[in-house]
Amino acid sequence: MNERTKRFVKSKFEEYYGRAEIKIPKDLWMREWGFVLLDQYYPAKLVMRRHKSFATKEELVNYLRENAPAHAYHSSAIYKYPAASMRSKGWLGADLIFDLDADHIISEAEFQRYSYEEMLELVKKETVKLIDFLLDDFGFREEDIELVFSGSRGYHIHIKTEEVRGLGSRERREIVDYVMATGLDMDRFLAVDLKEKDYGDEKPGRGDLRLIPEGWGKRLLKGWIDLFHEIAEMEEEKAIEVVKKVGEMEKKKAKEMIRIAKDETVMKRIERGQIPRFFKPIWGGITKTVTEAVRVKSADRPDEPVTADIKRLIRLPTSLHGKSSLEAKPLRMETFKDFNPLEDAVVFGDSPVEISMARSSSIKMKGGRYKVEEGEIASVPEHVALYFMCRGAAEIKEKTP
Amino acid sequence: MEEVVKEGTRICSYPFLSAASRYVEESGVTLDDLISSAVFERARLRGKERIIEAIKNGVVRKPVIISNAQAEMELLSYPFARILVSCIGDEYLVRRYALSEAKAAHEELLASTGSSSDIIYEMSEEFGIRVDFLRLPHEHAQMQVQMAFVDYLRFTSNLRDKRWKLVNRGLEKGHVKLGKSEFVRIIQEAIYERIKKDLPLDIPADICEAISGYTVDIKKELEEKRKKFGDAGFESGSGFLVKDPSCFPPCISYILSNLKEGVNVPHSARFAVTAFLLNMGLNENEIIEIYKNSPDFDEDRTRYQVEHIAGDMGGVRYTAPSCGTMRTYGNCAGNDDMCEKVAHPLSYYKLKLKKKKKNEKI
Repeated sequence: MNERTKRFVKSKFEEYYGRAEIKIPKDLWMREWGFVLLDQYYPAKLVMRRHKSFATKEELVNYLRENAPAHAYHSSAIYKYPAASMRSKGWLGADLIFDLDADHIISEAEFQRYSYEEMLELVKKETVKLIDFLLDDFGFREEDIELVFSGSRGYHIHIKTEEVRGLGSRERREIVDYVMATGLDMDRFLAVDLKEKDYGDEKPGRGDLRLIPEGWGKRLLKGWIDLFHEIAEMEEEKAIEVVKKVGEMEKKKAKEMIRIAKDETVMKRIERGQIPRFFKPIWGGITKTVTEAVRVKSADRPDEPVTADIKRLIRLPTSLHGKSSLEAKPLRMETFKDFNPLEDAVVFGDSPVEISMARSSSIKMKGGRYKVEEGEIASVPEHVALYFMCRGAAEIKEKTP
Repeated sequence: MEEVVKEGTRICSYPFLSAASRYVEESGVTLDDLISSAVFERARLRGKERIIEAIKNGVVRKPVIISNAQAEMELLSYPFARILVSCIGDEYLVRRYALSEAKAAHEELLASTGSSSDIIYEMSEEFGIRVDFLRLPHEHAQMQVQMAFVDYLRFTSNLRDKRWKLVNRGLEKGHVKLGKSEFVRIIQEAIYERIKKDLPLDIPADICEAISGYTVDIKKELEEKRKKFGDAGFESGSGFLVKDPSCFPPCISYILSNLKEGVNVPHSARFAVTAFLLNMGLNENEIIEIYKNSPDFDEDRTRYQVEHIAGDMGGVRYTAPSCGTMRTYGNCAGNDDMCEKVAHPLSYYKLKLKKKKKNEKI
């Protein structure tokens, strides 16, 4: 990004902060703030100006208007002295933050294979799974879950309820492990005592495995039911293939299993959480399949997607992301499914800007598809120009003297 | 009369409760009385005994209380024991003492909750744990306790057995269900934290001086224990004088075999194996030797890192990561029977070695 381009980007960011309604996080004055400015070092050297604090909303908004930063962050933690050095801040608590980024979900080796749009789709899928855990298992209320597009390739979730604030890193790690199924032992959801009498009308079959339908046990049971319904509707040859694969067994055995699976009373038993012992050989296989499908994935950095760090900085919702020019946009659960960042998080206009390409790039934004080659001079809508500039793919075209 | 003794007994079984400290406060016994008055000699001796029992047996057994006077001495022995522990100011002793008191209370709770749940209610309230007690529809079913997951995590994140991991719990709408005995185990953690929390207390030197007659025996006992188990016992690893690779846990063996075959091993696994072997008593040169087959071997860098983990550069000496951490980083190579019994690779080694020696004797 050359100086002229930087000036242009900065003027546009200033324009945005001049008109934008900035979302102020709860307990603003107890948070530490950090910014990367569009200064002489940017973007070669990213200098984070941290340990700032603001007493009021006006102070913060003025700072944003005056500096129009490339990146704006606040601490997930609240402190007694937010502007003090790390050691003497006086930690009082921290929001529970989940940070799902394509970086964490797709391994480096696979990265090249995905387009930006595809990556966003993958991350969205993981986010949906995470939200399901938060609502259903952890019992958070929808209004307590602040969902935000990260401005780049992922989503952030902030939970700011009083009760999560005091959790330490170790406790947070347990939450990470829960949603990622780390250390999961499905056998713990098997009831061994079959003499108990709370089965309702029907007694369990002799030697049935009883699956406790709570937490991960519930998800496993759903997996069993889905699989058996699927099998019941398949052609026999196909069903045999599926069962063989799940249970790693011979054809004869698989066939026998399918015959029994199609029996309606067996199906009913399974729906009640009773797995006939006969199906024990596929227990492990189904457990593995279900776990893989349901858990929130992370490629190879187990620490990052959901952070156990209680002192980190997180991007300010409604601020701009300096590497994309997109807004870190707060989202609503109901409309999340249809959210398309490349339309809905675009804040800049359509007036034409002339750019010169530093490398070949393509992007689909606000319904238009733009594909430009290295060295090409193109006139594109402002929002596309800013996107390319922020990504370092384009410079503003030199005015001909 | 019987009622009063009963209440006294109850309180002095759980002397860390706020009701107990209130009782002591209201009794009018001053700190001066407690440390010097002849009337309280029994309380002081019992206080010393509490700590010696903690060092020797790892649990502070409760005597049978037959009179009010005895109950009062028992109750007062607790604050005195805390003063003693504080004057000695040894971190290991603080942990051991807190744990021993907590364990005793745990035993007491298990024994007494068969009849009524009152004490469980009281404990939950005392520690600010929001609970619901559920009774299953049929008569012989065990009572279940339901608590908010945040409270659950507060008291279980130190428990390493995988059955305590949140992921292995029936978490529904923010609530965790527990059996009664499991809940009592959590109470033990809460008690441990409470007792440990402000120890050592800030006791003026002249008071410590005045009661040095009591501390001297405790220090001796502590020294004895140290000699037997090595300085910091388990943590420094100095208890492992014998190195027997056949007793290594599967995770460590797996990483070692990968290193031997020149497979590139992730950083977290290298850290684990290095810390483990240092804890085992291997020296740095022996460990560097192991890395020689790595595809990216660089002797200077390896030496620097090994020395860092060993704490040679003035930093902390690291202990090998626990099973939980190994799992989190994907370094757990899978379980065998012994793994089920331990939560730490070092415990695995210790246990397996013990078993092996036993078998050899036979």
